[in-house]
Formats: sequence, C-alpha cells, structure tokens
Amino acid sequence: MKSINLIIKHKGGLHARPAGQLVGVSGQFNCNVELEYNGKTAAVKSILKVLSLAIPEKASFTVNADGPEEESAVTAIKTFIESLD
Amino acid sequence: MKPIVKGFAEGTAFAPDLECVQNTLTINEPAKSPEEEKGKFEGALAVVYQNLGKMIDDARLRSDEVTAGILSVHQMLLEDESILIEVNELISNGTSAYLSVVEVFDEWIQTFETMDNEYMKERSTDLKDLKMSLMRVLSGTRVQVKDIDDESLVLFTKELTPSQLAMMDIERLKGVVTEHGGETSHAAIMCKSLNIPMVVGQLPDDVGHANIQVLLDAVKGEVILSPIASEVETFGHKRRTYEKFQMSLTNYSQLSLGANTGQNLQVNIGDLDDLPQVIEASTSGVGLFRTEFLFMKSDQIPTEEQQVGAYTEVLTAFGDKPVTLRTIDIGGDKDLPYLNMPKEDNPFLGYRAIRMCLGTHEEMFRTQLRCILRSSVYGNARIMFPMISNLKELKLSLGILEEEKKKLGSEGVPYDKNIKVGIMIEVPSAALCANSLAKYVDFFSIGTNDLTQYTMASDRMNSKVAHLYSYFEPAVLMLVKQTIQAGKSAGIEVCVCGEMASNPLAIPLLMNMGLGKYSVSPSRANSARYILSKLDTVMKKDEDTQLSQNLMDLTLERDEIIDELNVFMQSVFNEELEWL
Repeated sequence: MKSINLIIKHKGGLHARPAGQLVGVSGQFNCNVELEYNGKTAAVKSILKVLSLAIPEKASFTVNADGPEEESAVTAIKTFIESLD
Repeated sequence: MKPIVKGFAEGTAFAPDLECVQNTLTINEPAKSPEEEKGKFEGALAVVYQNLGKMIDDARLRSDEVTAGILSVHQMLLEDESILIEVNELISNGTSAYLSVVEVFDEWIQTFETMDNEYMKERSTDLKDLKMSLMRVLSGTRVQVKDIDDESLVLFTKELTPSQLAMMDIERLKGVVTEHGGETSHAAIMCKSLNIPMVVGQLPDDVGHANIQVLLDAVKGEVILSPIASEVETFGHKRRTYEKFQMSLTNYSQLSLGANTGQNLQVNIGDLDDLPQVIEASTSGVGLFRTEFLFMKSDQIPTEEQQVGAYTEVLTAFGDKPVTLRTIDIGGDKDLPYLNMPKEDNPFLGYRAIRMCLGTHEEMFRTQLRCILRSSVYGNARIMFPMISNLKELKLSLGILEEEKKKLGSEGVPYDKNIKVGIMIEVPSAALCANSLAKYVDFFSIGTNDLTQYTMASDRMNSKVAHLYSYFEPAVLMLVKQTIQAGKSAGIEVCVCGEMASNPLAIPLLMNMGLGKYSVSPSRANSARYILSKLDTVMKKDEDTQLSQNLMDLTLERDEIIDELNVFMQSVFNEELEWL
C-alpha cells in the first residue's frame, strides 16, 4: 500500500469536473485507490463518494493506493492534482 | 421578482409540480423478480443516458456549450459506481427498480443538500433531475406539456432543471419563473442562451389552476396573473417599445462608426465557434483574439499545423479587417494541465503569460509566433503581448519575434513583413510607464479587468474584498487616462478590451478621455455601437450635456463618479438606459 498527502489548490476544491478526471486518471492503474479526508474515506471509483468528501480548496487529504500498480497510480494522481490550478 | 434574463412574455401558466409525477400505480406495483427488476433498471439507465446524449448533441449544434457541459456532468453521475451497487443491492433484496432508485437517490440528495459547500448543494439539483428522469422512464410517464394546447406557455417551477427544459417544446416556452436560481444557476445560463425571459421569486399561489393567463415583465421583474384589459394594454405598449428598441439595435449593426464619429468598435473572441455570430455583428475587426482557447481545447500542445489552421480560419473570415492575436495568456486562473506547471502560492502575481513565454516555455512562444507569422499572409493580423510589466520584457519579446521572422525569411516562407505589434496594458507598471513603452509598439490595448484587480489589490472573486474592485475607482481611471494620453503623444492607437468598453456608464468617460477603440464581446456589440454613435452626436452638439469638470479631472470619489455618470446617461438615453 502506498500513501501520500496532497493539497487541493483549486478554487472550489475537488468538484465535479476534476473529480471525474480523477476517476479517469486512477482508473488506468491496476489497484484500488481511496481518498481520505476529515476522518472519512471514499473509493475513487465513485464520483459521488469523492464529491461527498467535499474537499475544499487548500485542504490536505490522503491518497491510499493498494495493488500491483500502486506506485504509478500515486505518481499519476499527484501530478494530476498538482496541475489543478 | 428579480429579472435574470430580460424580456417580455405572455402566455398560459404551466406549473407542473414534478414532485408529484410519481405515478401512484407504479409505487404500489409489486416488484417482479430481481433479475427482471435489474433488467428494468439497466434499461432505464440506458434510455436516460441516451437521451442526455441527444440533448448534448442538440446543444452543441446550436453552439450551446454551456448546456452541453451541464448535461455531460449528468451523464458522468449516471455512471457512478455507488449508485449502481446500491440500487442493485436493494433490488436483490426484493425492492422494485422504481422504489430502489427513489431510495438511493433520496439518500444521496440528502447528503449533498446538507453540505455547507454551495457548489455541492447544486449537485443535489443534478441528482434530483436524474432521479426524476429515471422515475419517468421506469413508470412510463411522459411530461404532460402535450396536454396543453396553447401556443405560448409561461413556466412556473421551483427549480428549472436541464432535463425539464429538454422535455419541453422550446418554441412554445415563452417565459420562465422559478423560485430558486441566481444569475449563475444552470437555469439562468440555459435561458440566457435560449433567449427566454426569466425571473426568480416567490411563486404565486394560483398558478396551479387551469388556463391562467400570464403577463411576464422580465425587465422590471413583475408577474401579472389573469390580467384585466387595461393591464394587457399597458403591457403591450411596454413590450412593443422594448422590442422596437431591440430591433433598432440590430439595425445599427449595418452602420459603421468610423470617419464620422472617430470611434472604432471591435470584438473580443475566444473560440472559433463564436465566428458566425461575430461576423454578423459586422464590426471593424477583432480587438482581442484569445489564442489560448486553442491550447485549452486540446489534451496537448497544438501542432504547428493546427495553430496555423485556426489562425488562418479567423483571418480569412475577417478579410481585410484587423485581427489582433494575443499570444498565449496562461496561468493564474487559466491552467493547462498538460504543461505541468508547478503550483504557485500566488498565481495572479505569478509565472504566467509573457513571463513563462520568456522563460521555461520560450519554445512554445517561438512556435506560436512562427504560426501567427505564417498565417499572416491570409489576412490582416496583428500581434499582441499580454502582461508586459516593463520595457525589458517588451524588448526581449520583440527580439524573439525578429529572430522568428528572420528564420522564416531564410526558409523562404512568406509572412507579413509589416505586421503590427502591440501590448496589453494590464499591469499597473506598464500603465505608469506607458510613455516609454509607446516608443516600441504600434498599439496599446488596455485590459481593464486585470488592471483594476492589480491596482486596487483586490480579487473580484473574493466576496470580502470584491467591493474594492471597480474600474470607476479614480485610481484606475487615472491609469486608463494616462495610458490613452501616452498613446496619443506617441501617435499610436489605444484600445480598451475589457468589460469596461461595453459598460454604458463608462463609455462617456472613455470618450471624454479620447479613447478611439472599443473592443467588446459580440453580444454587446450592438448596444455599444448604439451608445457610441448617440453619445458622439450629443457630446459634440450640446454644451449643456457635458460631464462636470470634477468628473473629468477625477477629483471625485468612486460613488460620486458613478452617480454623475448615471444622471448623465439617464438624461441622454432615458428609459432605454435600462435596456442597454
């Protein structure tokens, strides 16, 4: 399992469009990806679950990836989130 | 009632209370086998998904990217894994597809509705809409608009959703009244793009009854039910006057301002889809062509051929009228994921536009200049550099342009050797040093949106400080005036291409400062042209209708400035001012 902390800089936090893109980015890798924020977790596969975390701008959240391609998944997600400015 | 989309509408009230569309037969119907119910559910998902697809295509056909975007989010939500799992689970336990959908969606709607985040709350509307669509398909109910024969309908509803709108006969929908929805709500955006007058406010009680006639004044924000004869007459008069005025504005598009008035009206464009509408507005060219749209539309940096193709298309469309291509203005709130720019703490004061073009992204900048030069043989192209902060940046940019010209020359590729080059004046330092910058360029274009933000040091998206953001602040006006004067002294052209150029209150002030060129968004072209042409006549003739010395000297405070401009414009345009 691989975990990292990321910060959303985008105004409006992790909203529908980036959430949808995030689902796309993580879907490419063979592993389970979860987001953790404020004590709650959400499987990235479900946009609704991700949205319901309501991660606002400037918030720090954790990405947990578990599976054969967890390293690549985490790197790709990190790149994606950091590009959301 | 608050006017959201201006206009007038008359018709029969239509108030479907879609909450009650729940077909009671379906609720009480016993569930069939889980396999059958799952099949029904999957079928319904497919139908709704497909319908959304059709609506998206329709929207794209009429260049309504906004509705298309909203409906695309709906499609995305429809594919959500949680919903699929949760509904199927309930079905496996013996619940009907219909009731399972209701239960699962209601729970998610509840979750989102109780969130603090405004944006998240809006997602509950999307979910409610999807729930309704699925319910309708599962119960075989169609919306009852077909039951009403009337040619003109005025819709009354708590909240207007995309699928509701899509199921209506748009030709028969003349006006909309909703209880919820501000200027930026989906409903407002859709009605704006469909030109349907809309107001927001408390729904009157009696609209549910049959055959209620409605008069909707969406300029003032008034709804009259079951009007009496005198009300119909007054309304008719107001409506005709307003519509005559709107017509006359379109007739103005045939007039050109130019030698007579000394003013020049151009348009700002950002997307090739804008073209047909823009060319119809037949102005004197493009004051701002936001080339970054091409980069934002794509998943990667556009190829040289793609860029040349796009620039050529615009240049040929405008014939010999000038088209001002602004080099890539990316950064701040406009990001390009594939450029992998490092995140910044302060993007508005950061590595964007010309700064990154003179640094890490010089290759991209050079390629773009090369492409603009290559396409310059097909029309009247001008180059404009954004966000220039000092003379050094300008000299560097000009230097790179010269090098690219030389390269093309040695390759034997033709380009416009006399291509004009100018800069955006949007950083205060550029406005303050306009005199020295003017020596090196053919024109200035004042970006009032950014200039205001930097000068007043306030973010207009930040509700706590947005009150400071106004281009009527004397400080901002002084910088604009100074820039116009610097341009005049150097004998170069000055244009304003921000929102300010189409603001009815700002135009007289800008004219007074000697501004020659106004570049506005295509939808504002007719109003702006009308204002410029009428003011020109007025301000030349009548000594009495002039702006006060204090105003022209900018010794007043912002509110005093706005008040005086309001009074002045009222005296010239009277009731038309409301409509401009």
